[in-house]
Amino acid sequence: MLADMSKVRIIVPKRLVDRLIEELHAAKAMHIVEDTISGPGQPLAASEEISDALVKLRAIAAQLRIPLTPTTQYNDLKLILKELSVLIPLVQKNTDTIKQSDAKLKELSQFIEKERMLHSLSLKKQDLYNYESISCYIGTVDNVEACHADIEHITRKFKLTHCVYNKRSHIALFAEKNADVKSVLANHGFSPLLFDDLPDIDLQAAYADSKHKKEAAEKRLAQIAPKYKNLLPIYENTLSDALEKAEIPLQFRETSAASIVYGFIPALSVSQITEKLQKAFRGRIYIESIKTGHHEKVPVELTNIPPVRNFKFFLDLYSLPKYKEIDPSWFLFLTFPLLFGFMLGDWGYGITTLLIFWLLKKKMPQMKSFFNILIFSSWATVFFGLIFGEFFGIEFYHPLISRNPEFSLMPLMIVAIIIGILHVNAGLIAGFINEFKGHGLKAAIFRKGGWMLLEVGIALLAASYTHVISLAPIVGYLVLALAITFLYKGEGATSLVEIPGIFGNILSYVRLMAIGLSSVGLALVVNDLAEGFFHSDLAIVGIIILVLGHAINITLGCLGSFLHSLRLHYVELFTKFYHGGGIPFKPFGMKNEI
Amino acid sequence: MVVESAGLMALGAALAVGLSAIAAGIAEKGIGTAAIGAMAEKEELFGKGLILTVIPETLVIFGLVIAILIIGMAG
Repeated sequence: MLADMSKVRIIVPKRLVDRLIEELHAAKAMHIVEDTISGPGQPLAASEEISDALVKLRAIAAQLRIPLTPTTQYNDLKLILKELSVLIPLVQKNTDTIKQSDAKLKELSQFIEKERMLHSLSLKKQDLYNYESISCYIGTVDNVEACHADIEHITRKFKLTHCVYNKRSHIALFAEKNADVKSVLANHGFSPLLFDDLPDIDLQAAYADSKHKKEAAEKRLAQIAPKYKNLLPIYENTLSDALEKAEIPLQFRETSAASIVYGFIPALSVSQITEKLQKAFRGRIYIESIKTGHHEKVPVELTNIPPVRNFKFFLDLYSLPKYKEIDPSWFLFLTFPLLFGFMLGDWGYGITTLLIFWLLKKKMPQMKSFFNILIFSSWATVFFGLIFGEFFGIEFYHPLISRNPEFSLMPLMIVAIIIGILHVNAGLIAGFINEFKGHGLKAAIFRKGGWMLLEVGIALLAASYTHVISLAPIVGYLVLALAITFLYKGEGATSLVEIPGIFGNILSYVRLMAIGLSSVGLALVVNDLAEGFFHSDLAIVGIIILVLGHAINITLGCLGSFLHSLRLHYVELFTKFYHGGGIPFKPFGMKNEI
Repeated sequence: MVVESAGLMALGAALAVGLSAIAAGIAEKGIGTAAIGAMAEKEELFGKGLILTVIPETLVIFGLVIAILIIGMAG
């Protein structure tokens, strides 16, 4: 069911806007909509400060590694802002120190590397520069001996020392300034190393100093963190609430003296909320119910009994119903588990999945509705398993409808198609009701009635031609012609193209048989394999095959049945009546409750 | 090689389903890719995307019907 919504307009003097926001936030009952005529209003003055503090709070929570778990506690806003104005710069300073120290440490370790390399060549930085007639080349080459030999050809006045560092041959060549030396070195793949930036300081001491600074900052942060572990989530909760309240005036309409708020309140709560507000404002407030526009989007709140409420999960995946539509939750509640059970259809599997999903529900309470759906489906599986007589693939008794591939599968297929016809027509009836409510009887008859007449016409034709009933085919043709006219008048020419579509939709339900058979086939194969091992001595292998095989079959069966049952609802059923596209009812002040 | 009519009928039924399944697969490949891409931008398009993706399934259903008719003829 969809809750009835009333559109409400509230007018208060401008100076009482703060009070109104507090009252509405506490009431948690009104879905505020933006007034589109005059554009956004002004947020409250504090909103900038609050949103700034909130963003920085989230940043330091990440830096202090404090998770912002949801909480329902609040603290005083002014105290929080004051506290944060001290805490945030402190944490920022320390994080900046850590970042800078990190960068410096990286730089210093590169320099230390270079110094070590020079040391292994027995050189110091001063030895490299300030020569009048000598050039100095330091770097890596491919082959030291060949290089040495080639340089000897050019000049006698040189000194070449080399070493192996980091698995590469490094050389230090001091030679008289001669242009040919450079080209010789280039021939041997010389790659120079630069030492201009090597500072004349004690690198090790500088490194130790930076490391010390970084560790001190980290220790300070680690000291701060435990004090705020419980407080930061509370601060975030307070700040985000305050921000919500400060920014809601963007949706109000303002005149020079008054603020006007538009919104939706569930019809049952209107009088209660009106009374509460009138009392709080002692008459200095004006509340009235107004009519909604014809195509206005009214927020929807689904009110269903708890078992049916679980199936809102599927509607959240697809889209919520529009305000005037039939709520498909009951359809999903009745037929989704049945189709699931029909496809899986094994009471041994059903009991196993029942246990598994019940255990999982206990472990993951936040996915409660999802597991409830699967538990209903498991019950349906047990039910159909008893009808099909399968227990882990073994038939203990001769069942009503057999899924054994040895027997004829026609009864199963006929049952599947009958289920299809019933399901699709249930959808068409729901569509008829929707159209009747929305556009009147004539539209309903032309649009949905046309489809139903089409089915009747084809059925009559088939029956006449196969002489099941002694009616002349002309009747069938007449009904068919009538149906096509209705469809053309109701939905236009595109519906004529869709005529084969409805039969495709009904035949699509044959997958109920097909997926069921694949599950049965796998179970039979696993049982046969295991039986073979039981007759020989390796009974343990047989048990392993049984367990693994049926586990895989259950997984595949659950996955396939879930998907296909859901797809049958989304595609075959919903296209017959469901439009979707509704906005969820989000009252001001309500936290996002899952 | 003796060509039996029953064997040919089985082949016919297999081809009917198999080829139409390949055709549906090729068709739904492009649509499915586009649908997922659209969904990545806008979650609300899941329903429309799903419906458009499974439109070519009628191809397989027609193939299945023909296969069943052929097997019915054989038996």
